[in-house]
Amino acid sequence: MPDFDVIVVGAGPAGSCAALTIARTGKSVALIERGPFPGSKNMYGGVVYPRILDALIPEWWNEMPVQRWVTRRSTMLLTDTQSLSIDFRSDAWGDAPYNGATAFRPDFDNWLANKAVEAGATLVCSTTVTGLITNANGAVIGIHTDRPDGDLTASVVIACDGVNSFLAKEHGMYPHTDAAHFTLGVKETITLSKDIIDERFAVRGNQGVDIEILGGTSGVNGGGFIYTNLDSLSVGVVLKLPKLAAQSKRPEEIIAGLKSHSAIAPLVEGGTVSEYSAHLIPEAGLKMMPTLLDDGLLVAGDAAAMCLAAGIWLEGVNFAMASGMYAAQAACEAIEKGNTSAKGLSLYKKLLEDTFVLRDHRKLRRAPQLVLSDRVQHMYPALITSVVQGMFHVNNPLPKPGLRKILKDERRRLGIRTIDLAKDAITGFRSFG
Amino acid sequence: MTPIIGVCVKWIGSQPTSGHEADARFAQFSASDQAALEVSLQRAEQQSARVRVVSVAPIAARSHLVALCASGAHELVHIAAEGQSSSAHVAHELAQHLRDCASVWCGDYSLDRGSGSVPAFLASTLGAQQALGIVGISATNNNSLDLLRRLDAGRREIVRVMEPFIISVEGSMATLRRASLASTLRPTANIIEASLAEPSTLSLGDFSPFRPRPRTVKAPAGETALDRIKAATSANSPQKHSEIVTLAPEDAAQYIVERLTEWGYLS
Ligand SMILES: Cc1cc2nc3c(=O)[nH]c(=O)nc-3n(C[C@H](O)[C@H](O)[C@H](O)COP(=O)(O)OP(=O)(O)OC[C@H]3O[C@@H](n4cnc5c(N)ncnc54)[C@H](O)[C@@H]3O)c2cc1C
Repeated sequence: MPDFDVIVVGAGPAGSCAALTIARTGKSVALIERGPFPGSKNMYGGVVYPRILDALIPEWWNEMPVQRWVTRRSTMLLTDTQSLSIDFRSDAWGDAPYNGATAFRPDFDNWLANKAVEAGATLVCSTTVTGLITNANGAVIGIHTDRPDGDLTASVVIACDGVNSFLAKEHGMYPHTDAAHFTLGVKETITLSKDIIDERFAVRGNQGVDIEILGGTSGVNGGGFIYTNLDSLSVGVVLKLPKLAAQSKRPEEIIAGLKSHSAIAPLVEGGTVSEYSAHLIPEAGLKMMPTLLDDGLLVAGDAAAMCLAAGIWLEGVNFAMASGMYAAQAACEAIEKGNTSAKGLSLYKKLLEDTFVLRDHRKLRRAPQLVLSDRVQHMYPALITSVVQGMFHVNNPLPKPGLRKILKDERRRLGIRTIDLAKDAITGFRSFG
Repeated sequence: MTPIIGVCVKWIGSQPTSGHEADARFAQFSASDQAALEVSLQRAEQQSARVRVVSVAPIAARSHLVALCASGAHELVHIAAEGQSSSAHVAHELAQHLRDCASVWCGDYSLDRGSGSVPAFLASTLGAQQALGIVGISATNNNSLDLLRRLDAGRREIVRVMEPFIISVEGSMATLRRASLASTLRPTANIIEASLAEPSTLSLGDFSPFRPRPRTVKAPAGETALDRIKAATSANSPQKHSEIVTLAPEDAAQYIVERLTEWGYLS
């Protein structure tokens, strides 16, 4: 008899949703977390889109620890001296059933893990899983931990141990890893009073803002973000690893550069940096996804590279929660049928394929590469902002130039070939269209 | 009867990064409290004794206390109390659960930098000997221990305590062993729930820290700045800076009081 029906490794959003789903069926589940409490080790930009929680926690918005509800989304293009913003606001996002919210991970993850505990899961904190136990046939039958007498057995293990999953790697599920598949996310939490944030970001009450930024990363391919919390801002950059390594600026200097941009400085002015954090992001989507299951083992969330990083979208928490929930459903079905082999667990793949998790990844499979390409990163922001500047610049006594002429001149000046522009436009249309 | 070793620990809920209220998630026990538990566990192994952890702490501390006890304590007495209580009151409540212990081990500081007076009140309530700032055990005899005690300026002294005793240890004395996975999953410590009684009406009077009154010192004399500094620091004075006096304890105490009075620290 194994110690538990299922062991879930990692109490992030994927792990807690997995444990909650299993506990609700009455099966025994251990949720093992290396941090002193769920969320203590975790960081992200700051916006969660919890629609998927409708299936697990009805009216979650009444209890979820939220900083602000996102009612404004901006996409900003930055060059050294210019900025262009597309700004959208929806009052509907400020009311139930809501859309996205800023939340702190120590609050959000802890809340979600407690839901699993209330449902009957056994949460074990301050315990690091150091390896998988396999039987003679190579099937996973448990885990080793760093505690004395620290082995535990289960019918199924779900690895939700986040990006760069040692468990998935140890089990050979990532046959090829490449630094180019990862970005480094770094973030400053900047304390500012609620009144100042409301005024600077034109919001009221618990309305919040999500600004995604292309450019402003000191020439390193990546992007930036600013999210409003109740009385602080999350300001950060996401940097492509090989490009970061190939130059000499440190990540905190790159954030400092972003904060000093004329479009950003007035937003953060007078704030105090109260926290600095950094974390890897599995950025390459479908291209880097590991084998998702094996005998006795399922991999979910960032451990399975399910974070969607596609320019205007940086969504990982919802993908993690969904994949954790689907992994749990597959594990429960397999246990009930008495077959926890890869075949018995195959419902997991089907659920992922049938839902947004793999559908969005398939549709957007070219997006991460396109968004992080040199042309999108360095040439197009300059092209677009220069065209807009050309349109609004009054150069009397010369007459206003036509849009086509400005575009042609700027394209030539920046050395962008028509063929590349056309290729990228097609890729962009296929992904986002 | 199996001997029982008592351990007193103080749970401190700390400030979260984002909010404004004390938060149980960030709570800890001081390194010296953890060392006290480890030393007790080691002594319990040698003496086939049981270890009883006693704490006056809020309800929110329960899971942390249970996790602490998973290292090997046999009993946990959780005296539930919200808010602040005086050291004398806390010691009085702890003492109710430590009367059958020949030795009680405490940490010599808490994370909230409390007054450190609970062990003293405890010793007084239990009529036990007390030693503070212990960094090691140098000898174990039948009912007594020779303890290495830290003094100022890197000095050490050895003190002998006879049972019953209350010892406060420094964090450097031991590192608490890691609880096994089995005891973390299925805590075995026997939990005794208690609640804080009303403080007794007996007043111990007002306490305040002793701060010597400021003294007016004449400006140093001297032609040059160097001379004035020498005068201010008595660098060239033939005055004795230290003396070694060998006296009986009562005479030594009397001598110290006289010197302190002479130097203006006591009136
Ligand atoms: C800078 C940055 C910005 C981001 N911004 C956003 C955003 O705004 N919105 C969004 O939706 N997503 C965002 N993401 C992505 C998002 O954070 C992740 O996709 C999401 O957290 C994945 O959840 P998870 O449960 O799979 O993994 P994690 O959240 O990483 O959780 C893994 C858990 O496993 C634990 N663990 C790891 N190894 C072990 C072990 N060996 N033993 C025991 N426990 C272990 C960890 O302590 C952790 O609690 C961002 C990420 C970064 C880095």
